[in-house]
Amino acid sequence: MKRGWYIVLVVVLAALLLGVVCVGVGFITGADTARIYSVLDDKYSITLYYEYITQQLIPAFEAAGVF
Amino acid sequence: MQSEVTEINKQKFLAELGKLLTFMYDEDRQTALNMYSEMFDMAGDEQALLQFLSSPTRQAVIIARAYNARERKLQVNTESKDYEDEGTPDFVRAISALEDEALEREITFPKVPEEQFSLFEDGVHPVEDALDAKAEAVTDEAEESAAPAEQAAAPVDVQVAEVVELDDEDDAATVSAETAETADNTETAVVAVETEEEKAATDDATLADADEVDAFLSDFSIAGDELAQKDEPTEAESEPEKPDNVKVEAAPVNKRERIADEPRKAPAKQEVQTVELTERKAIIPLLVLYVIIAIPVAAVCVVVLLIPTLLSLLMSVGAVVLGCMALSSAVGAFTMFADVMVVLGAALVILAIGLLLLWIFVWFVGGAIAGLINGIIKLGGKWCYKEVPAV
Repeated sequence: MKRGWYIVLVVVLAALLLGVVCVGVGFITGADTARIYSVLDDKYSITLYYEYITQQLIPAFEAAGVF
Repeated sequence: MQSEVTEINKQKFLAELGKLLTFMYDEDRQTALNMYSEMFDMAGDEQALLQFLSSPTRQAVIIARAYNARERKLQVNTESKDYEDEGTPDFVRAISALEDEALEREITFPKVPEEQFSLFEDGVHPVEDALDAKAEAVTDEAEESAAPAEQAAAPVDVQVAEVVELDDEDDAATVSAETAETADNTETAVVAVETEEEKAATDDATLADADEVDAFLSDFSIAGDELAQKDEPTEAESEPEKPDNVKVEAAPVNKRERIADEPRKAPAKQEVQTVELTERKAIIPLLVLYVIIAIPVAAVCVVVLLIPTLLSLLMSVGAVVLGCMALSSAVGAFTMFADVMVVLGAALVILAIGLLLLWIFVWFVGGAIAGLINGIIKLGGKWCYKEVPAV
């Protein structure tokens, strides 16, 4: 189990380090978050799901007394 | 007649001696037999020499005593020595001493080279004086019946033929013996009686010697069946015999194994005693009480542990799905390198978090929950069992 922890932590840290480096390089080279969001929204309808959750699902749970 | 009888006795003597000397290497045995054969050749009176030598058994004992232990053939199958001769062997000296003694007693005479026989053209040979009186007595009869003697000599075996080659006087004696044998049945009977008497005397001497030397001969470990094997070399020598030293080796090995086994058995016995001394016995009331309490507690703990377990599972699955979606978007949805790198970096971070959460789930299932159950069982064993002396 200790060896498993060691391997997983090494892989996770390596992936985190690589991801941070990639994000840093992207922002250094002129990346724009609004442009990235617009692309992802077009592909996955993020705004639509967000509005559905915030305007309909949460009030429904609140009305039911869950929250 | 006398020459034939003595020649047969010589052959018998040498044959029996050859059988008794099977403990020697072949070349040594041949050397010894050749020396005895020469001794017979030099003998004026072979019967006197046979009486001097007593019996083949006695001579075999004399040779055996003189035969070096190093020279001794330990295996019957061994045909020749595997070492270099170092000077004159002791057994040759022993036989030479016998020859010297026979010479001193005038039983044998030094061999005269054949060239010197020309000095005695008149037919007088130095050995003649020592010839048996019987042979001289029948010489006249042999001259009379020379022709039938030649006919009778033809079917005689090689031994008689060798005697014919000696000299004229011996020829006459041999031929006369043959003639007398064929012509006079009475004399044949007399000679037969003499032969039986000599044979009986030799047997008595052999029997007397046998008791004396049996113990000595047993040292050579050559049994009668081995001597018989010598007579049939094709079967006996083809079969590998077990050397005697194998039996000698077997006993120490077994002893060693026994000694080696003894210490092994002793610790095993001690271990058994230790196990018997530490017998565990359950305290039934305490065990029942522990089961009643431990099962609900363990169930609650497992449920408590299951919440973070399932939560980590859900979060890991969500992170892995989100990371894979981001990764696929970074590869196909973006055209700018900077945007690709940001989305790719974000996907790697999300996947790393998802992997970490997945491992936490595995750790909860395999480590925390299983460890909790094992700990509860071990605690019950520790509390509810006690070690009591074995009955």
